[in-house]
Order: sequence, then structure tokens, then C-alpha cells
Amino acid sequence: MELLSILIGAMLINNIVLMQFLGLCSFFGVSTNMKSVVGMGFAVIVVITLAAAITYPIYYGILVPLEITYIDTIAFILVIASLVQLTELVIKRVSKSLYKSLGVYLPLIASNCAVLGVALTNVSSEASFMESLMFAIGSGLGYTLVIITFTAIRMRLSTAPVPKAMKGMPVALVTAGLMALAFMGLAGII
Amino acid sequence: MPVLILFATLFVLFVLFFGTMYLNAMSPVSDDCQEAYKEVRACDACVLHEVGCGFRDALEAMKEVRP
Repeated sequence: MELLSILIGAMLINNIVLMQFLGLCSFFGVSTNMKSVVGMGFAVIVVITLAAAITYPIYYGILVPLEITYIDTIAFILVIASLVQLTELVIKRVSKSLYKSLGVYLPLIASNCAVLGVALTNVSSEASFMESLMFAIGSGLGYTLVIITFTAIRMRLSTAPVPKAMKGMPVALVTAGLMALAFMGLAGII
Repeated sequence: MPVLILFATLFVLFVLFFGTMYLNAMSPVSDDCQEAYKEVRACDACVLHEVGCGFRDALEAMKEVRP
């Protein structure tokens, strides 16, 4: 039950994009068409989950015993970048269709700070391995949910009579702000 | 000794990173996936492509005050 609360909490209440403001570059940059956003969202779920599963043992198995936890940020950046390259390599070799739908987005995610943010939050909160994994899956699902919703709104806005001064990024920022307010309303569900 | 451990750990991580990067670069994207690969990496995949093709261009465009 507690793991379910962590999953829902990470997905809706402490949403990584709208509440923690991580991964905003891809959130605003990639939300052009639904096809690429869905692919990007699923790739983010896979990478965040794998990154959490890898960084947790590295932190507690290597950095803590060696008393070098102060290099956690640079260590995680290198580990996540390596993990993304490795995942891309494996998908490229194993399945062409999977690479076409998911793998092509992987390099864009290597520089997504949401992945690093989740890994660092996991170790700073001193959660267990399963809790960290649930938080990572929830964060990935939350990112995907929000970016798909945001893209759908932007697609509708592109045909709406928006004032000239508000067209493009200004109205996108206002939309994101309103979405964040709406998500704050979910704070009481757990 | 702690400094040695620190540098050894960082060295291993950098080797891991550059090793995977090299292996990935050596593995070509198949012809079937070339189109999707180019589409994702194209400049117009970004919402801000009209103002430039990089983060710096986008920032400059956002700062610009139009009369």
C-alpha cells in the first residue's frame, strides 16, 4: 500500500515537471506532435526506472563505503549517460521496430535533468530500493502524462484565436502554469 | 589515499562513459530507422526552431524586446 502511495504521489502530487520543475526543456521543446511525445514519454519511463535501479546500488555499494558521496552528482551524470548509450546500443542491435519507436529518443533523454533529479532525490531521501524504484516509475509516468496532456492542449491552442503578443511560448508558459495549479488540487488525494 | 580512491572511481566512470559512447558510435543506425532518426534530431523537431537551432538562440529570442 505504501509503495502504491509513492507511485501515485510521484505521478500526480509531486509531479516531476509541474511541481519540481525538472525536464522543462524537453517539456516545452518536444511537445510539437503527439507521435514523438508518446515515444519520448515511454523512453523517459524506461530510462528513469533503469537509472534509479543502477544508481541506487552504485551509491550504497560504492560511494558510501568509499566515503566519496560528495561526487554523487558527477558520478550519476556519467552513469546515466553510459546507461543511455548502452540501452541505445542494445535496442539498436536487438529490435529495429523498438529502436524506431523508442530508441531514437534516447540521446535526447541523456541530457534530461529529470533523470538525474530522480536519482539524486532517491539517495537524498534515504528510501529503500523498492521505494526508489516506485518513485522512479511514478515520476516517469507523471512526466509522460503531463507531456501528452500539454501537447494535446498546445495542438488545440494552435488553431485558437490567441492574441498576437501571446502566441507561441507565452501562451505555452501560461498553459503550463494553469496545469501546475490544477495538479496542486490533487494534493489531498493521499 | 582518499584522493587516489576518488580519482580511481572517476577514472572508471569516465572510461565506462567513453567506452559505451565509442561502442554506440561504432554501431550504425539501420537504413529502416534512418528516417525516424533524422526526424527526431532535425532542428524543426523543436518548438523553438523558428528562432534558432540551439538553446542559446532560443534564449536570445526570448530576451529580445520587439517594439
